[in-house]
Amino acid sequence: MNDQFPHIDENAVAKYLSGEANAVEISELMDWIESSDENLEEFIRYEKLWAESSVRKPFNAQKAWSKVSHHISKEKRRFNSYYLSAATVAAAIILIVISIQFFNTKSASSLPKFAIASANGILNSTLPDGSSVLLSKHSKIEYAFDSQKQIRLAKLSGKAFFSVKRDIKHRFIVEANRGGVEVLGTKFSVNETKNKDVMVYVLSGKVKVFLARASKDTLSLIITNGEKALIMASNDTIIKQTPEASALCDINKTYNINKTITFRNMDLSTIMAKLEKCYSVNIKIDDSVDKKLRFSSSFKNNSLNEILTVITQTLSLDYTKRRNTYYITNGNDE
Amino acid sequence: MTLANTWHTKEGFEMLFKQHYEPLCGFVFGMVKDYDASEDVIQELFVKFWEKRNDIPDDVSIKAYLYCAARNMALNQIKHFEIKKGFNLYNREEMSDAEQNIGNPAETSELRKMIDQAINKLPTERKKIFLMSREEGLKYKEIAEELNISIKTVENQMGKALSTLRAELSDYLPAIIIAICIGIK
Repeated sequence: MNDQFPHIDENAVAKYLSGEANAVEISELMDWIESSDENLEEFIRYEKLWAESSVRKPFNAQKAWSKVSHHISKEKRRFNSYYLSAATVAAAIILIVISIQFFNTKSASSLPKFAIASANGILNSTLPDGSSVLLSKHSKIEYAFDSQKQIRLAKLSGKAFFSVKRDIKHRFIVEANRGGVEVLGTKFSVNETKNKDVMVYVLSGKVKVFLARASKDTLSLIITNGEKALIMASNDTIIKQTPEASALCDINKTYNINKTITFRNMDLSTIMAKLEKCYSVNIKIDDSVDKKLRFSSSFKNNSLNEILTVITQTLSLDYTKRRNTYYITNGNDE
Repeated sequence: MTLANTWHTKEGFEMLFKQHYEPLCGFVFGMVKDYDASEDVIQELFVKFWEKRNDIPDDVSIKAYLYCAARNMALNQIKHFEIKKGFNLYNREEMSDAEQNIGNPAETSELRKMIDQAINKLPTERKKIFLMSREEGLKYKEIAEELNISIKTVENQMGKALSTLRAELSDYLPAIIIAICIGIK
């Protein structure tokens, strides 16, 4: 009967459950628990046994529920009055990386109502519509609501990580040079390439990329899950790459069945340690990199390359892969 | 009808809460090592879960999600806790833990009875150690001192006791887990 269950070190479990385990033992047990759903289930069985094996019941769900239910109805009221609950924010997360200035473009029809610029550090700010922006070093954003077109327009110079508040009536558009990205409720990244073209990469969902061409018409293209689009300002074209064509990005696809990874304001070393575990790889952070850099986001079913791309681009870092080891270094775009 | 998203409604959320609250508290206790702080962590987790419920993918394993989140929040909590401890603001007596909710003996569950039987079948010394830990709430060190044995022996005996219970009750446990899963899978 026992053989069908995954093996667990009972001494370690007993020690852990009685609060006697030290940091190393805790972390070892956590690794074991997180390595498969079966292991988690097995751990929960032990925990159930443990809880039932004593008349002392330190926790009381009933009592706790009255506290929590009170709290969440309060939360709800707050959300209604200020319209800014976390639940409504974060409909889409975008990473925009543009190396060129474009504020000299003529589209001055809407008055910028809100502008932020970062100096030597990373800046976290909230736009008037409730979307939040993590602004990379030496970057600038002008945001305006265009009441004529009924759109939310963000103009970016540099790099930024957007968490766009869902609002179907008022589209959110990020402008970059003559190209841009329209959020259709999704997660995607936009990256610079060496020759000032713009690379858009969709992690999940759908985005529309567009390019105002020299011939005055506008080229647009919708790309979805796993697809890439390269906006080539120089050639006046947009090239779409399907996942098969972009071998770089799907190396880790096999690891990705229903995998959700969430980072809440974690520092770089913690994030990388977690990724190492999740993807069974080695990640080395270069000594010159500031390990105290912090990052928040959630990834669902993304490959390690996708996740590392988003993180490194946001924090102005870079990564390379050699054999089974990823090396995180400072970006060289400054 | 699918029950996958029951936690989007307040009723479904309450169900999820009541199914997982105590196990999750027990889970983070291993890290936080303070009963009240463990409850704080899990209550905060559920409040956050409620706020973000619409962003949580439908096909995610809720159980894995909760345990992963609980772990992360507990680790954060430990950092705060250590800071507070450093300033001597968190001077809570261990005793208060023992005074908490002694379960109503009348509510003795089937599983509880089976566990009692299994505990009674343990070798005398092992049973004694197990009960000193579980019923008297003594620390491994305290048990070792009182019985004049090494901490390592306490560890081994506790592990073996747990292992025996696990083997004796293996027919019961999968059913329990299925019961816990209903409504969220």
